[in-house]
Amino acid sequence: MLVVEVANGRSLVWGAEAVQALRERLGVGGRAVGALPRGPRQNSRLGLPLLLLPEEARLLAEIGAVTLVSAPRPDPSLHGQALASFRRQQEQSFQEQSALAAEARESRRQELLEKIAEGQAAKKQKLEQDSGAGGSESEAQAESGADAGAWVHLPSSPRAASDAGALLPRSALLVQLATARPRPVKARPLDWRVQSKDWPHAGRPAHELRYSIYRDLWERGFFLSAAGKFGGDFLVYPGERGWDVRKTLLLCSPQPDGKVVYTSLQWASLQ
Amino acid sequence: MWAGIRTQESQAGGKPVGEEPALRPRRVPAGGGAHEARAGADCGQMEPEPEPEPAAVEVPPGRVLSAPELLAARSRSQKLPQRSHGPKDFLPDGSAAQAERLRQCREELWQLLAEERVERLGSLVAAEWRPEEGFVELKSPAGKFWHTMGFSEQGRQLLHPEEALYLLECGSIQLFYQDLPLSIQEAYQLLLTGDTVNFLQYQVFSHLKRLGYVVRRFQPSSVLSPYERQLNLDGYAQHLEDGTGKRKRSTSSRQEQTAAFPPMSLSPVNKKAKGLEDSLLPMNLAASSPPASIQNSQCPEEKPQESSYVKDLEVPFQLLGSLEPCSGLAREGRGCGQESVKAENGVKGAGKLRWNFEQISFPNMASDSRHTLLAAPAPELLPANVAGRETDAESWCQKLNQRKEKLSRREQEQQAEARQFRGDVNADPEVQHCSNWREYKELLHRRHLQKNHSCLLHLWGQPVTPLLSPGQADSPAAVLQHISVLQTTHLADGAAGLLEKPGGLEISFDVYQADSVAMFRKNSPGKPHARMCISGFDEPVPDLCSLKRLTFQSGDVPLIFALMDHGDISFYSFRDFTLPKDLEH
Repeated sequence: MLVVEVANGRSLVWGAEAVQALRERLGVGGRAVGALPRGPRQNSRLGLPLLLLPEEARLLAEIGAVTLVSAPRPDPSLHGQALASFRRQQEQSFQEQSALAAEARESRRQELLEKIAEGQAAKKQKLEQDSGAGGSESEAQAESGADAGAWVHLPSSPRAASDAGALLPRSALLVQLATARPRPVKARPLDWRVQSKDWPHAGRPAHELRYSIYRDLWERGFFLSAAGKFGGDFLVYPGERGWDVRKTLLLCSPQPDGKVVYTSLQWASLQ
Repeated sequence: MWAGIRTQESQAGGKPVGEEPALRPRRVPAGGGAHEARAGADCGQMEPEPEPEPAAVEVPPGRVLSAPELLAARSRSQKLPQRSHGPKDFLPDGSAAQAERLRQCREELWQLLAEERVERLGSLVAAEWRPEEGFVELKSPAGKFWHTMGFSEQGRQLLHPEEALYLLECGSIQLFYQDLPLSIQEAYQLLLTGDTVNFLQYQVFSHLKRLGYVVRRFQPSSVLSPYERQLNLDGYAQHLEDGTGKRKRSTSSRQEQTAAFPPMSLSPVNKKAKGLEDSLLPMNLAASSPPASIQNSQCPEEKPQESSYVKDLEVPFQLLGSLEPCSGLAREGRGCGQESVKAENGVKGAGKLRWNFEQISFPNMASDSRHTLLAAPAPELLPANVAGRETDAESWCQKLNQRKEKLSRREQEQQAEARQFRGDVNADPEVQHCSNWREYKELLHRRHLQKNHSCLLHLWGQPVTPLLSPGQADSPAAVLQHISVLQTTHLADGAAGLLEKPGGLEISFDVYQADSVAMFRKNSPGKPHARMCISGFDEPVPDLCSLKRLTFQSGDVPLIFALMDHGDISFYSFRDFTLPKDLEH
């Protein structure tokens, strides 16, 4: 079930699957307003949370696709339990990561072994070819001997290390900075028909007006988003993102009988 | 032809129309998908559920990565995929290539959004949220971000909530609350509900930070007037704050202030007084610089007269300075102790306090509200073998301003009146020629007519007279200037006394240029590039009173209004400009 938390009139969606479902199945866009984990220092692409227009949230609640809840406060009684489980989970992850790191080291060493063997063979060949030249043969031999010794030493040291069962140093532990709350909580459902601190829009004429237009256009299959910076209420697209349409200005007014009348304005040249 | 437009009646609870398979179903319940609205929501059900469930709803948890996933996350690509594959399409044309491109775009988007932040524990700075103080305290030493963010207090490194949240989103810190690390969602809830920073302000803050600007909270006390800046007062302020920062731990007794620190650190001195002191007083004076009391005098209220007024003061000061050192300048003891305590406790985001004009008296030589009786300075202020004495600088007033004053109209009238009573009518030679009253009255009448353009008596003798006489203006610009009803005003005019309205618009942030990051010093940030006021589109446009007050509060730094509309930020500012007056241009 899709649940959207609402606080102070603002509805935020924190799950990526939920965002996908909203956009693809329900035609509700919202706007990403958080930092993108892959690139948190740029503004061209933003990430979770997704901010929904009040009209979008209300529509989703009205058609029953989503349950609106008031953003839950952290419950102090559950805190101890959460802390214990977090610590357990962290330890477990630490163990697993150490094991995985050890495995990775081992497999790297295996690869290296082959390469080492190849390198040693190649070097021996080269030396045999050079030994005909004479001169620094003894040095070369000593060098190759030392090298071989060094090469031979190399595989043994990581083996010793991994055999000792060395754990990852604590600072190398990978942690996840969770985007959404990593544990389930209980929340009170929100009634969008009633005005409350978390939902101040109910009953406001501006909101009702915008909502009626939004709903009508949504049912016609359009995709809407906010248009404050263009001086309007909504931007209406014929489909989901990717389309670049010629823009016209649309004046909408809902009639008392529930229908909506649209008037389109276009610039006319005076020639 | 776009087949998506269907005309449906917009009624809640209408019958679900048969869906075209290619499109998103618009009527729920829709087919397929694990994220269905509610149990039992299949095609049979006609209406959406009318009442919310009485029981509490369980909010599903977010994704927790397992160890292999964590390792995999570290080795993912760091580059962002480009936004569109191929040129932008104008209209959906149902072609397969378009659909494929769209699908690819979408897949990338979902993948990007679903990624989680994974960091090495060693590269994260541990921080703890303290709700009672409204700050975040760093538990391990700060990283590179400390150069431009955060502040120190009592040996602790602290961050503002918006800074901490931004760093959390960047993956630089790990935020704990009661020993449990906070997810971004929880952090948004906890940190942004205080009265210090709200969601809109955080959005603007993070937007600007991502662009690279240095954004700090607005500090009203750090606004220097242009005059102070002219005197390079901010140079002194830096010195002061650096000094007191080092002396943070010493006791706050003001007697410990050495002469190296400018005396202004100690008391709420008139900012003009401070400037003059600095420029005129030798720095090695006042070894222990304890304050003595200043007599109150009226401070000049009119700002336009300020600059000329102060220049006039400089002359007597130098003269007085030759008479006695420190020239009777004494400062009030009131409020001094607490000043120095504040100054000593390091920079807690707020630097020196605003000058309190009412408490500062200052010798005043101008024509209005003179204050020329100067008391003798306290003997402990003076070096040995130097005697101070009281002086009355009245005699200097006449010798002050050699330039002819341009009096305002009211002053001219006053002076004319005074002249009338001062002057002797009989001293006028023409009057002496008059032998009787009748001749005198004729003389007066003649003079009156001359004065009032007797040649054009038909114009000037009536109740409605011309606006200008021919001699008054010599160009169209001067004419317009004389007859104009509206005068040019500037936004900051008359704003000095405006009171703040509770709940009104306030300046939130100071923004510094991105390229000054290398030279940015938190303790002396200098003049910001702009100041931000943040509002939403639903709120009304600020009225003139607020605009004036905010512009005045901002000083000479441009003020920008950031308006949020559902994730979109638009920046607006008000500009002062003067309409050209001359017709010829």
